[in-house]
Amino acid sequence: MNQRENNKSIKIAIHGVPHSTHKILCLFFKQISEHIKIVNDADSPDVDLIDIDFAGGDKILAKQRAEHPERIFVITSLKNKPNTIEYDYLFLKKPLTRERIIQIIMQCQLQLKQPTIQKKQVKAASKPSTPQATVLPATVDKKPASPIKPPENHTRPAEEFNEKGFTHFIGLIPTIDIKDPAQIAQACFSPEDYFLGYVYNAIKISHHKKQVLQVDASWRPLLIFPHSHEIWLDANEHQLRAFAGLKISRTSEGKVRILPVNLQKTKVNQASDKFQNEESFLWKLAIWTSKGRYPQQLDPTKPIVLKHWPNFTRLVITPHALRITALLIQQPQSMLDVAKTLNIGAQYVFVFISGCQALNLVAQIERKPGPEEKTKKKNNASGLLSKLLNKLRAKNHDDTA
Amino acid sequence: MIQHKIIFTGPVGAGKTTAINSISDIAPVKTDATASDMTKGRKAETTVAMDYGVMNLPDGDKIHLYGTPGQERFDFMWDILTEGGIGLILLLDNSRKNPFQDLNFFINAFDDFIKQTSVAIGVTQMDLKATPTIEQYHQELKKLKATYPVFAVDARNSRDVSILVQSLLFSIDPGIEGDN
Repeated sequence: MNQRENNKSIKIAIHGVPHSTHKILCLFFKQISEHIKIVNDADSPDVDLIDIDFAGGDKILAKQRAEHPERIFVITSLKNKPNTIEYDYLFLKKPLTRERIIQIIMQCQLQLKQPTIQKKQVKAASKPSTPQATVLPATVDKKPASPIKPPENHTRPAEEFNEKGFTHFIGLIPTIDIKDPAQIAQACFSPEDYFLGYVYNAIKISHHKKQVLQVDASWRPLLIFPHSHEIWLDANEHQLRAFAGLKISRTSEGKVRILPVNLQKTKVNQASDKFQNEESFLWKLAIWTSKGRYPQQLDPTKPIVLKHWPNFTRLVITPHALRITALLIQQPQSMLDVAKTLNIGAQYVFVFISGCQALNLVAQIERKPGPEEKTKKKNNASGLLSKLLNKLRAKNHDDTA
Repeated sequence: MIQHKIIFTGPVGAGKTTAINSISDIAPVKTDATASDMTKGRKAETTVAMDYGVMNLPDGDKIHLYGTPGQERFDFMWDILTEGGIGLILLLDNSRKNPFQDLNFFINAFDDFIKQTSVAIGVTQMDLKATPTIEQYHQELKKLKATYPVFAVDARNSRDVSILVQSLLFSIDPGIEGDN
């Protein structure tokens, strides 16, 4: 083995082999190179070597993939390279020979030297959403070839808005009189008419196909990286906010296309700072599209079930969002009832629900809760809690200033 | 005189001391000592009694912030600490071997207190280990028929800790209002 070229130690964990075979392999690897270290799973190996001929080998592979998506996976088998495994791996054909092992070790070392999006690609994917009926071209770049800088951690702390600051952040919020049915009926929007709808569907497809996709809306390119749950967009927040509010024409000239990506031809490598967390992005896009309106698919008079709390520390917190969440978690209520109960503008409920819908956090039910269920939980310490709330918010404000 | 307090709990190294430090008005009173037991594998110093911080409110009111020691051998203190508490902040270290085991352990250990008040859960170290995801924590809580707030938290970030505590307050009473 070329020691000069491959001088970095490589840690390998071997799974799915009997103890005796494990021992033999350890000795074998030791003979090949002193830079190969056989370690336990707890010792953060670089590579997982898994024998899938072993009973339960496929389960071991799935488990390791889920728990350690950052590792390189080498699958060994007597059979030919399995095509049922969807994610990236290296294949080591049995019988294990010195030459085959050296070749595979060199490939591992090459991958380790390249902090590439290729590596990001093999990160564990979440369960795919239901795919949409969008037809994609048959040729798909499953494995981008060029080494590309991995994006840094783009998790941003939450921004928290009061009513005044939020109007400035989001633009025009129409004031809605919830007693006027005509106004309520008009205060809705169809996500499918906006960039939001296309991005939402593209994300679903991308996750289902486990494939990097590009949304081409005759605007700035937007790329979806399903394995790392990230979005890459070559636009700043002002540009996105403006574009989010524009209806997209359904004519052939304005047609939005969802395309597979050849990463070599994108600018991703030059602008890794443009990556954003997928959930935070979708939430932001939804509230900028909503501007205080509710999604057309939802009925503002029917109860809403909120599945769980949104991850508020990583999202833009719209005015009253925490109160609305707490109320809906206690019991389903209609958007209009929430506004009445909390004595807040309906537009704040609508914008919050728009964000939740983009993250699949809401469902609507027919049943209307009886009046006895609506009784608000009274708390004796509410004066104290209000004071504490103001203190926490003031602290946040001071930290921001 | 009634002591208003919020309890911060969770396993060793989850960030309880740091979280209290993030929002306390005083330099927190720490009772850290050099770790000598199995804790030393995770951190050099650990809390052996409890941490203490304060938030001063208008009209002389104070919110006392207490951090429980992470080691289970100190669990006899937990009942005393929670007496009269407003609610519980549970911090979980995502890089530990089995965070769900920690989740279930602490939810069970503080079951009575949570039933009387509420709990908000902050998951730390998600930058070191991304799984379990926040969604998976919600699925785990679903088994307990619970829908508590669960957020990714950087205990050093006062904004994260503030949002976590705010969610606790609204879980106790969604009707409370602050100045907008």
